[in-house]
Amino acid sequence: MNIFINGKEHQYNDDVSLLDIMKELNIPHKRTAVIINEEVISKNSYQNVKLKNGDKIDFIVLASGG
Amino acid sequence: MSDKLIIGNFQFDSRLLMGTGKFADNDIMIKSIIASGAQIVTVSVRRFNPDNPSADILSPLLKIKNIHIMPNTSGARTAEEAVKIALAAREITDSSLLKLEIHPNPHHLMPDPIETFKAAEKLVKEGFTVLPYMPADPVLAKRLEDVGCSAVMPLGSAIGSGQGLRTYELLRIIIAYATVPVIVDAGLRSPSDAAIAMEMGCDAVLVNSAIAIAENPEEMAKAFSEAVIAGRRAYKAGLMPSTNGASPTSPIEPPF
Repeated sequence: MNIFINGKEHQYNDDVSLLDIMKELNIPHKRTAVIINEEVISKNSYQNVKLKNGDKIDFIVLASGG
Repeated sequence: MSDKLIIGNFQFDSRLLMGTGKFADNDIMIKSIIASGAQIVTVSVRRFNPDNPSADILSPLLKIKNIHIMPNTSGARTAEEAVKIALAAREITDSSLLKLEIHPNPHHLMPDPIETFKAAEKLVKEGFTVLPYMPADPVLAKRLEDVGCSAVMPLGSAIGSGQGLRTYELLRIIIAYATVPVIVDAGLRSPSDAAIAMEMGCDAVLVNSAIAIAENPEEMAKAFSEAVIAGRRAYKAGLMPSTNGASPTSPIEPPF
């Protein structure tokens, strides 16, 4: 299935999980927030997320700014 | 004598808040924050870049003692976007502190008062300690206070402009009527700008560019820290009234 990650389209197997994707991209859990289809996902519900074709995932971190 | 800056349920000894943008590198940024004595440091929220995983600045910042990270909603052009950014940021910081900023025009970066107000209402209900960056408008300041913002952050002049306290007279009115802390955010260039803001009764100032792009950011951070302390001390001490005419300090008759 196709998943959009930070705006870019990626191909994954249908059984891929959010945690699989985070592991593959070396996403640091403690320093990252996850938004799926405009919805902020709480940290303790990552394992319950079911991904589907066309989902849009944004991985968000803190960066410099004033 | 205790003179804490109280913002919502938080208490701070320092009245200088710092931004983290525009520093040449993280090392200079960290040294400057330490030199400033700032206890509230604002950061932006961005997408994770898998090609540059070390771009995240949370880890170096958390090595500084006694510091609170205040995410900002820069990049938001609407209330809805700002709320989403705030909720995402809170997942990372686990803190309610939030600098609300919505400036849709990248050229002048003036805050959108209507979207800022709408977002503030929602974010307060979501449990955030909201510090809105806002135009120096006394009516808006009151409205933001009324919906539960924990401070107001009127601009001194345009973000990054170094034009100082162009809004001086409006700030004076905001200070006169505010019952939450007034923090001048944006436009300050020199420590004397910060001192003037504090002398007139601002509760704190937020500085970024003036420190980050100074020739020696660490020294400038220290200078701002001293200016904020001096300005606050002067405000508490009570400035003498100013008059139109002279008032001699020595006898004006010939001594003999």
